[in-house]
Amino acid sequence: MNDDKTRFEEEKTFKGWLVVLGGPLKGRDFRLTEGKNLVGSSRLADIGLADSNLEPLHFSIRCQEKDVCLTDLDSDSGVFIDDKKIDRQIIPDETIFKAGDSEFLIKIFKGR
Amino acid sequence: MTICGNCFKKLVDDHPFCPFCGFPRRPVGLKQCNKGHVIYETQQTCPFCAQSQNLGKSLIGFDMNSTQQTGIEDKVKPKGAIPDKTVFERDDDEKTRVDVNLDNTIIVVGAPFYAWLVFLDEAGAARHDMRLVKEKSIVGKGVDADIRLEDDFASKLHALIHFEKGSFYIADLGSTNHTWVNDRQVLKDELQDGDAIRIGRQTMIFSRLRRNP
Repeated sequence: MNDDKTRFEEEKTFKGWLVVLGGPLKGRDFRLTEGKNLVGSSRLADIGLADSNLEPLHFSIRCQEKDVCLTDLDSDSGVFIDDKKIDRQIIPDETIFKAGDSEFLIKIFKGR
Repeated sequence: MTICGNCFKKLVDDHPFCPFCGFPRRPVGLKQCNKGHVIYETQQTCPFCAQSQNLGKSLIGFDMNSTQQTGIEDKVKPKGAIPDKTVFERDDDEKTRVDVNLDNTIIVVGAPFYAWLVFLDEAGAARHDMRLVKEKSIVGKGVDADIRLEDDFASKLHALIHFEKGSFYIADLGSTNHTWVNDRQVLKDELQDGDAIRIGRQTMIFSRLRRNP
């Protein structure tokens, strides 16, 4: 069983995973919590990724009660779903999108 | 190059005596110590390895200013010396490689699936998660289990979660308190995304990607 380091912070509700399907961090997954999750190459981001083509704060994933919203944070290289650049979009479970050199997937956790 | 046979300083002109110590000028030969270092013929002790006995034969035509001396030192390094860099090569036969980062996140390279177990607390809230990284994972309270439960109501080797041909299955391993999926006792059953598994008093949600990467 995992030790205490992997336990979710009590004040945040676990909502799912950001899975890296391609790029320099292929094979990794990161936990998403309720509310806004900032993603980028900066250490200040909630999810900091070592992808040189990602902006320091590239996009955000807002996990709400009923849906998940993906927002491009005015990045130069953009965020793409099915090769279409998006600014802000409500996305269903297991949506694949690209940003920087990486390909991501959002897996929404379905509790009981 | 001409060397003083007494003070071993370089003599740059044709003066019959050394300008530094007054020693009569004469050519100085070279020789090797037993470890191969090249020294002047008049030296009784090798300055590189302090060997004073059995100094070897004389050398003719060796340039003391060349880099050959360094090369000789390299040759006498003991065999099996530790190299500067240790290179770890990945075993290409290994299908899946798992690394654990300092922040305890897991990197899985080459895994054919993405699947997790999310452990719930008594109130039904997610407490922590665990990524499945092996095609066969045993759940139980024993030390040999891949996923260890601190639960007295779980058997040591309680259940097996198995990935085969794109599907996940759970099989009870003859446990005392049985394995339950969605409140239904199972001996062997296919797992779907969102299924609730109960082993002992622990409930966990099985979560996986519908498509394989």
